[in-house]
Amino acid sequence: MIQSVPATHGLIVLDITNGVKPVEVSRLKFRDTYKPHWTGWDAKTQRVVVTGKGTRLFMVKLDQATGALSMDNTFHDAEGKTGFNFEEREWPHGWKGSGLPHGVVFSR
Amino acid sequence: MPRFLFAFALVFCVVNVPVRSEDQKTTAPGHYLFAWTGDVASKGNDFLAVIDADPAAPSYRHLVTTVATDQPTMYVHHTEYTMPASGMLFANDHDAGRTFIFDVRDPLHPKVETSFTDMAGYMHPHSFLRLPNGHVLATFQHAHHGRSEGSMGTSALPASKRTSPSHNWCTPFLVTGAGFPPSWGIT
Repeated sequence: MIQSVPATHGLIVLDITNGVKPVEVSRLKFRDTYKPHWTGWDAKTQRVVVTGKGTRLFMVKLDQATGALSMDNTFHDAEGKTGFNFEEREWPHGWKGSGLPHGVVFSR
Repeated sequence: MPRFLFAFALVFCVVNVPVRSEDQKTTAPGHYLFAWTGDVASKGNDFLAVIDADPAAPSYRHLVTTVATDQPTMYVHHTEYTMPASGMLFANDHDAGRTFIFDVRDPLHPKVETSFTDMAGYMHPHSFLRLPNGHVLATFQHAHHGRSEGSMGTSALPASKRTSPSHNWCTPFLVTGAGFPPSWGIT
């Protein structure tokens, strides 16, 4: 189970095979100012999309065998910074400004 | 008064998107992210952004398109957690008390199919869960009162609590088939 933990600015993976005794198996920390909230799983590419209190969306890789999380740095913006930047863009529908993403879902 | 009496929300409604069932599979090529997005400054409108999520695609990690709603951003919130087979995606602006249904069967040309507001006296939609039969389990977190009116939910929940991404103050109860237009096929 993957859980966002805003207080630690990251994600925690719990092995809940034994529901009476969940065990933390890994965690991933974002930058100190980022508070992750939403997570969405993509079975096709074995990745998790993450949004939170901020204008950037991140993609995280999950090793389902070990529970290990790692940032997908191939998913980056035009400046090479990890994630998708919603800050100050001219959007296709004609609006210009900073977007705040929340719910995110992959196509099938 | 116990908090649970104020924060009694989570109204479960069963919704059937008209005409399109889970049997009608989407077959669009490519792999995409649909990001339900609001304006940070709360001056613009909520919109759905489509981002290429196929690592093998030339346009990987790039914005593909957007579709805007007529809803000024109040608190853009949850979508469904996984894409339904029907390609009809639910997304809400929680504070506006409004839920949109997007037709994303063609990811390059997403459309707003329809929207709805409160149901059976409840508003502020929060989460959606697609059931195997294609219906949607929807949750609403407040009775039909404005947050600033000191109504149930409001007086028990300071703004800081309300906007916390880690909040969890809902107690569920069940309502079915309430308030939806007949043409939506709610059961």
